[in-house]
Amino acid sequence: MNSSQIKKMTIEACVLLLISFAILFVGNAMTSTQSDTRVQNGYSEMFSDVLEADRYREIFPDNLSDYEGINHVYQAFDATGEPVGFVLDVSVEAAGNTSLHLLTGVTYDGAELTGIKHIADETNPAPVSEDEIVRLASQATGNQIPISYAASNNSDDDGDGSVTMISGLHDGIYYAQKLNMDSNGYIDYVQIEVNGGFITRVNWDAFNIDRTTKGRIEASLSGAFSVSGDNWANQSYNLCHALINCQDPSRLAMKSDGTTDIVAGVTIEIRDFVELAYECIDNSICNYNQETYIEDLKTIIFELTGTDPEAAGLINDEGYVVFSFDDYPSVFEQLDEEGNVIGSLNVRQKATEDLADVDFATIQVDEDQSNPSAYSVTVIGAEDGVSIGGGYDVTFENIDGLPASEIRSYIPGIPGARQRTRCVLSAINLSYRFLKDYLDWMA
Amino acid sequence: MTYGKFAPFIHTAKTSAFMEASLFIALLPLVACAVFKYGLRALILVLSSAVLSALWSMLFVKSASRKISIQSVTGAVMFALMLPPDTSLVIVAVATALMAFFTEIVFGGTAFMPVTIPAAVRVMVELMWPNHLTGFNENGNLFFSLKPLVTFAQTSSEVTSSVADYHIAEIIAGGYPSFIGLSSVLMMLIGFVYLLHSRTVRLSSSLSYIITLILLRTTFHFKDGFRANLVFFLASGVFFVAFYLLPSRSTMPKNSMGQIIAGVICGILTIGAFEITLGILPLCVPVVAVNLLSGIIDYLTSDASQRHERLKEEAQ
Repeated sequence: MNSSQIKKMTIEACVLLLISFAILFVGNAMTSTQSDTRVQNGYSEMFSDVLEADRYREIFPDNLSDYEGINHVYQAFDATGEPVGFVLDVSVEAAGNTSLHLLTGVTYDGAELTGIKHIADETNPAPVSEDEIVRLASQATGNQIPISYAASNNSDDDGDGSVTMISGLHDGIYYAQKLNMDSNGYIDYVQIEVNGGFITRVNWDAFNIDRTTKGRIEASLSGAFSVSGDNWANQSYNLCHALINCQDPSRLAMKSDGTTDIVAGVTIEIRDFVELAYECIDNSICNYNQETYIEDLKTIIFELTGTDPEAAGLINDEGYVVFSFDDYPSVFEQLDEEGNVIGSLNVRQKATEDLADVDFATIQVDEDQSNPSAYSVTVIGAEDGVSIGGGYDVTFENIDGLPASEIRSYIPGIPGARQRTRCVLSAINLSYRFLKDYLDWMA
Repeated sequence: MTYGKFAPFIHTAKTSAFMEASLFIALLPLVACAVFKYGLRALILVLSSAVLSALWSMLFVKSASRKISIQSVTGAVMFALMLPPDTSLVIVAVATALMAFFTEIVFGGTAFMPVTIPAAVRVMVELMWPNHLTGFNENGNLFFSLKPLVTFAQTSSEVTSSVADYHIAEIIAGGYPSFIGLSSVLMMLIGFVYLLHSRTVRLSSSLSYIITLILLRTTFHFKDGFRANLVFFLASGVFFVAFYLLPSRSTMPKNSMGQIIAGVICGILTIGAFEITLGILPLCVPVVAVNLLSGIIDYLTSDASQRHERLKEEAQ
C-alpha cells in the first residue's frame, strides 16, 4: 500500500468510528427508557420479597472488595427518591466446601432486616432446605441486625455476671463420638450433662481403636501421649470448664485453624470438641440421650457388618462403641433426591434416616409463639455455679467476626440444625459488617 | 510473509494488505460498540488479543524478517469480538498463541489456512473452558471494571432479563448481552457496507447464507411468531458469520457458484446446530466445517477449463 492509500484508509477509519459512535449514542438515548423499565422490572421481581421499593440501583462501594462474600449491592429508593435501604447479594461458605447464596434486605437507617431470599444457583449448595430458610426468614425479618441464635450478651451490662441458657435443651446426659479415628487411632467423644436447661458437666476424651492403648486423658497423664503446651488432659479439662461457663460452643471463639485464643492454657486444636459439643447440644434439643445414641450406633454397625458389636467385642469397659467407619466412607453421606452427596449425617440423623422430618416433626420449640421473631433469651444473673469469668476476655470477636456485645437480636433458629442456622445467620451478619463499614454506622 | 499462489485476490487490483486493512477498518464499528457497551475491559480484550497475536506470530514465523503481519492482528481482533465481556486474559493469551501456532507453524501462513482461524480457535477455547466463557454481566457494566480480566472465574448476571423482555429497538442497538462484538446488527451492517464499498468481499456466500437461514428458521419456527424469529436473527450473531467469517478469501470456494453453495451448507448446519445448542458453537462450527469442504465444493463447481488453468499456473 502506498502512502495515499494509507492516508485515505485512515480517514475512512476515523469517519467510520465517528459514525459508529454517533449511532451508538443516538441508539442508546432512544432506547434508554425501555432499558430502564426492563431493568427495574427485573429488580422488582427479584428484590420485592426482600425489600419493597420503587427503584433499585446497583452501587459499587470502594469497600466492596474487602468483603469476599458480598457479590452485589443494590440501593433501594422510594417514590420520592429517598433511600429506603439496601439489598445485598451474599454468598457464604458452609461445611463440606458448599456455599449458600442469599439476598438480604436491610433498611437504610434502622439496620433492620427486611427479608432474606435464597438464590438457588450454587455449584455445591449448602444443605439448607428452602423450608428452613423461609422459617429463619420469618424469625429474623423485622429485627435489627446483627443476629445470633443462642449467644447472648455476656459482657455483663449490669456487672452481675449474667449468662444465657440455650433454648430448648432437655435435661439428661448426651453423647457424641467421632465416626472416624484420627492418625493415632483415637476416636474422640464428648459427653455433656444438662440440668435445668444448663450444661452442667462436660467431658472430652478419646478411646483408642487398639483396645490395649489407654484413653487419651490417661495416656497424657502417664506421658504416653503428649501435645505442645500443657498436657492434653489439663487442656481438655480447661476447655470443658470453659464450655460450662459460656454454655455455647460458638463462644469458644474457635479460629479457622481450629485453635482458640480465649481459653487460658488451651493450645490444642479444639475443632473436634466444638463439633461434638454442637452434636451433643442438638441431641439434647432433640431429647436424644446417650443411651439411645449408643444403641443406634450399635444398630448401624450391625446393619453394616452383619455382626453384633457386643459379640464382636467392640464395646469397651465404659460401654462406648469402639468402631471407626474409615472402611465405610459413604455410610453417613447425605444425598439429595438425585443421589448427589450434599453433606454428612450424624448418628441421630442416620438412625432416623430423614433429617427434615426430625427437624420439623419432633421439635416443637417456639412453634406456638405469637411473635416467632422475638426470641426470649433467658438471662439469669449471677446464677450459682453458672458464673462467667475465668480466663475469658469478654471483648473477643466470636460471632461472625463481631463482638458479642454488638449482637442486636436473637432468634431460636432451626431446632436440631444449629450449623445450618448459623450458615444463614452468617450471611445476614456479613451484610451487617459490610453496611456498618460502608455507612460508618458506629461513627 | 508468503502468500498462497491461488488466493483469489491475486486476480484483483487490490493487494492482500489493502484487503486486510479494509477488513480491520470494517471491524472498528464492532470494536466501538464493544467499548461503548462493555467499557474498558472490552477494549483491553481487543487490544491484548491483537498485541499478543502479533507477538506470537513474530515468534512463530518461519521467515527471517519478523514483521508484524496485519493478518494476525485482524484475526485476533475478530477472535476477541467473539468473546464474552467477562473473559480472563489468560484465555486470550492461550488462544492467540494457538492462532499463531496453527497459522505459522502448522500451515505455514495465513493464505494457506484451510479454515477461518479465529472461528476455529474460538471453538477450541470454548471446549477447553466452557465454564469460563459465560460472563455476560448485564447490569454490572462499569466502564472501568477490570476485575473479570484477571479473575479467571465464571461470572454471570445476577439479574438477567429474558430476551423476551427486551424491546426490539434495544436489541437492534446492541442492548442485549452478547459476545462483545456481536451485540449490534447495526454496527455489523456498517462494517459490511464498508467492506462492499472497498470491494474486498463478495456478496455470494453471505447472501446465500442469510437467505438459507431465513427460510429454514421461519419454516421450522413458524409457530414461534415473527418477534421470536426476528430476535433470533438480531441477537444470535448470525450476521457476524455472514458478514465477517464467511467471506474469507482464503478459506472459501473461489467461484461464485461455490460460494453460494458454501453459504447454503453453512446456513443449514447453523440452523441444525442451533437446534442442539446455543452460544458460539452453532456460529463457528458450521463455518469451520464449510471451510474444510470448500476444496471439494470448489472442485465440483468449477469447470474443466478453470481447473486446467490452475494446473498451468501451478506448473509455471
